Amino acid sequence: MSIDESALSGLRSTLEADDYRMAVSESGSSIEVTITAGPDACEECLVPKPLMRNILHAALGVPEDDITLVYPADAS
Amino acid sequence: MTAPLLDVRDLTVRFPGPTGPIEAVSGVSFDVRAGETLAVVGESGSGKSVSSLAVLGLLGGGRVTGGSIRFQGEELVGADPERLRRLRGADIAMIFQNPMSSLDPLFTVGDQIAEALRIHRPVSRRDARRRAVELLTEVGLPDPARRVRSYPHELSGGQQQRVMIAMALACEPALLIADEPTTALDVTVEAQILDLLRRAQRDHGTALLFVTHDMGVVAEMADRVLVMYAGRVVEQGPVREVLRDPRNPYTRALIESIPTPATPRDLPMPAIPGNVPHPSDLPGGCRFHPRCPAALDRCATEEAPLHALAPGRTSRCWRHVPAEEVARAG
Repeated sequence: MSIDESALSGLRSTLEADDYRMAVSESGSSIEVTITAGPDACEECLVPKPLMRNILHAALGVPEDDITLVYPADAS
Repeated sequence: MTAPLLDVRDLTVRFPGPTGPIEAVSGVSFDVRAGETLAVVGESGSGKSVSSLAVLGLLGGGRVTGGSIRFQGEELVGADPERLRRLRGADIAMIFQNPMSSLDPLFTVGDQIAEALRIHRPVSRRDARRRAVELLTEVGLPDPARRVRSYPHELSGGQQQRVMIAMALACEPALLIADEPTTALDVTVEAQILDLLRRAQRDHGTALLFVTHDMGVVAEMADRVLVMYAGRVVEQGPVREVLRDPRNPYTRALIESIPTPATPRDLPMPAIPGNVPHPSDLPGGCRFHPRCPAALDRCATEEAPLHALAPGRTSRCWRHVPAEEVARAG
């Protein structure tokens, strides 16, 4: 599986407008998406994970269960 | 009539998709008055949770692209993020389906309730701690003086949700948004939590925006109901009227899917055939028409407007439009 970066460009630019950064890596059939917050980002304002998984599923075609999502609050 | 506490008009929310924006909520309007309960009901993917997240500005990853959200007369769309942060928890509080995703596993529940209070109110650490015990007592947690020192993982799911309600009530918000707060709980605990929410609402005069997929819960909890399907409002009105005489085929189907004592136990639970379409793949015309048992030819090509049935009662269906008007429109 390869990650289609162009399918993520809209989400990436929307997140960056609010000072979030998104890193995507793959491991076998699953992917890990890590969203970090810059100094101007609201850490708790990201949509709930199930909704973000749904957005990522629509963009990448990866089953929601195969998407590991790491939010800023998870790292603290 | 007094101005609504929360007034949402023509709300549109979009998320970025692989080939362009995906509209998850389309032109949704509703209001919530002080002290009342408005239930927003629909299946998964109806846009009900996104609409409530928009009120709190919790749409990181998406955007409100149209409409207005006024709380106590103040416009929240485009408001300064710091202003929204101050409103959250103090004036508008929210509880979610999964309390463990909202509670910090590293801090005691007492610390977390006290912190929720101290963020918004000038109270001493000691007073905040005392208030945490009072709140845990109020939400019916057994042995609150001891439980205040518990970590979230030491509590059951129902107890964790009680803690979330205590945190939500800490600053006596004017509006509490509860998004599927009992979905993860077994039916006995669900009844206790619903009872607790009703009591808390009565005692504090809090308005409740209750988001659920369960019409049975709507019947128990709400004064009015807003029915959503695929990002659109399809019906709204007083709960008793809507349950007694649902006018929209989707509302009827939701009500018919409530199990009753007469529902045979050996048959599958009643359900609406098919699925809610993904916002990136909406059908033309009425969004419900592929699943609708009452669909007309027109429903596949044109979406009906919200039709006023009575004061405070609307429904979106071509069936409400008089036949001569449909014929005139061709």
